[in-house]
Amino acid sequence: MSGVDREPLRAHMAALIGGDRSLLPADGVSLVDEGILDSFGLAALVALIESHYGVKVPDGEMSLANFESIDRIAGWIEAHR
Amino acid sequence: MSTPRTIIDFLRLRAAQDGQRLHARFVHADRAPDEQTYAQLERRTRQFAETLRRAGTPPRRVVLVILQHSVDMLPAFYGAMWLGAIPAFLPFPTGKLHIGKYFGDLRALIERTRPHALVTYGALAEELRPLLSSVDGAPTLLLAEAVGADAPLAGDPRAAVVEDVACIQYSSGSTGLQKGATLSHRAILAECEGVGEFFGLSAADHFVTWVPLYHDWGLVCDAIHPLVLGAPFTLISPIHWVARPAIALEVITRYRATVYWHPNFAFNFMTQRVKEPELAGIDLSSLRLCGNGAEPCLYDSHEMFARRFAAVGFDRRALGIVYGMAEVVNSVIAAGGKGGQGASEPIRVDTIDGQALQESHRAVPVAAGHASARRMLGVGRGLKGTEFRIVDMADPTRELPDREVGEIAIRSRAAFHGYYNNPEATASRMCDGWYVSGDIGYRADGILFVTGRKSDLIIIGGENIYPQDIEYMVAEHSQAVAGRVAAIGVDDEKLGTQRLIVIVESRSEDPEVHKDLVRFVRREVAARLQVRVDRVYVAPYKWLFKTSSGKIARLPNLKRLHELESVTPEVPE
Repeated sequence: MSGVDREPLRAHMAALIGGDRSLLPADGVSLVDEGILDSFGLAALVALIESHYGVKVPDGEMSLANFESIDRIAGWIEAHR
Repeated sequence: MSTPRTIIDFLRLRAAQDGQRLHARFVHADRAPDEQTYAQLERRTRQFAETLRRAGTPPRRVVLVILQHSVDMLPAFYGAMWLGAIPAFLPFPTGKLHIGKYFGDLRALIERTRPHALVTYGALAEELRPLLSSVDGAPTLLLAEAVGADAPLAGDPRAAVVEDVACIQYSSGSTGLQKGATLSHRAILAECEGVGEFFGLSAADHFVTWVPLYHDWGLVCDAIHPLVLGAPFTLISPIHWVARPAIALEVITRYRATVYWHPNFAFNFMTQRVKEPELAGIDLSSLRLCGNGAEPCLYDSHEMFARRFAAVGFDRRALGIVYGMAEVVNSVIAAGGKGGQGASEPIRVDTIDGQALQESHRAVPVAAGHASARRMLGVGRGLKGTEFRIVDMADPTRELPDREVGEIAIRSRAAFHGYYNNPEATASRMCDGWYVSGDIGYRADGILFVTGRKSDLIIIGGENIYPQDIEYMVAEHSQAVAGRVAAIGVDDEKLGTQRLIVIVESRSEDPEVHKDLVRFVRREVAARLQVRVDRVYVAPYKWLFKTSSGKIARLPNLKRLHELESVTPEVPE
């Protein structure tokens, strides 16, 4: 498991659906499949990754595939910081 | 070469006269841009035409083109046109591939349209091939990658006349609701002429957008129109832009672009999402038209954009508006811009009484400080060859006087031939040669103002979404009450577009069932329509208020939505 603090990521995703944490799927489940994260949400997520975790996301990496679940986002941050 | 009369004539003219000049540039997130000259465009078009010809594609049959952001998109499209076949772009599935659901909608379209061929890319073809085997009269699958650099070239194009159908433009939607507007060379070229003349566009311009080519706006205003003018254009992938909107500013700066189109929400999105450090080195002073369209154009959206980017050379006089829809090739009414006719008449702002608009359907001017003042942006005057009028919503033959709100009807040289294989749908929209648009608005001093939609059509980021599509798919859940689901687009000033909410009734009171229902709604809508539901509300049985005709009443239900908030509480982001 990566040592990335996932709480800010979960809070960010919960805010997208009205704040109810109990409606968030498990960390490994695709937030894209769940209809929670879409391409319009990428820019805000990238801003969070850059500001909170201090990792710059290059243009070529900005895809939903890289960030589709909490696990994948945390894994990406871990690998790039 | 004689005077060009069709789109293919223009393509050949450019290749003959300006073969080595830039036709198009495709910007990528992970590598240098691909560039294509007019000579390369013609050669590649002839290669696609020959591939289709050898596959037996006859004139007047439809060819679907489903390609990702690449320089082969337009050659595949024009290649079909070269043969006198009828190309139509469709979106490719994005995100994680829900091929079964994507295919379900594609199948409905194929059964109605009976296309001869489908030009696509290898990965999608592999997924589609087994599914297409169950469809009667399935189209021949052709891979863009298989058309090699030295593939044989087609001979001369099939002789065409201006009234021939050049292409089909599909509306968004699913479950067979998609309608294909058939557009002739005459209609498309008339639209280009009108827009070009109004904004004073020429071969000296450079167009930029991220609006995709399967959208009529992207296709006509950013690809066909530049070809007609002999002006280059640069396309950014929408996925790239949405992840980092500053890319559009960088592209405008790098290529000294003069024309940049995007829908209303993008004014808000860019203002809010572009970070201050990203403005280093940006210079927008080359822009003479920053055009808005494809969804309601809002005063606040223009203001925030103009203020934010003034420091990097954005001139607010460049703000422009186009109004139209696929049935009139996209843009037939326009305002603003700083290079053409709009320069002498800036976009009109009309301050009206919002309450009177709701209650008495009249646009009554009030002072800016009035309690219910609402600032409307004029979308402009009819372009060359286009007239509009405001008609009674119940009787489209009756024209209404100035400042009375009614349905917008349009008569234009850019009008479509009708919906492909769907004469009933065509007849329902035409009245004595006027296209009755379904949009609501008023006229003042010859200027059109758009106030809303007659139907409950939802428009998010310039994409049309039919509430019925969502209502049908949500009702598939065993715990949802069929016929008692409402999908509503709520105007959101912060976003500059609508956000989607769904209210679904359930007989169950079990919170776990409610959670399952909420997740189901989000999943299904995202998978089928590739749109995000902003909020899902589960309501008790018979909560939704319906009119006497059995229709779900939008406003009354929105007004009492707070009753449901305890189920799915809103929190500030």
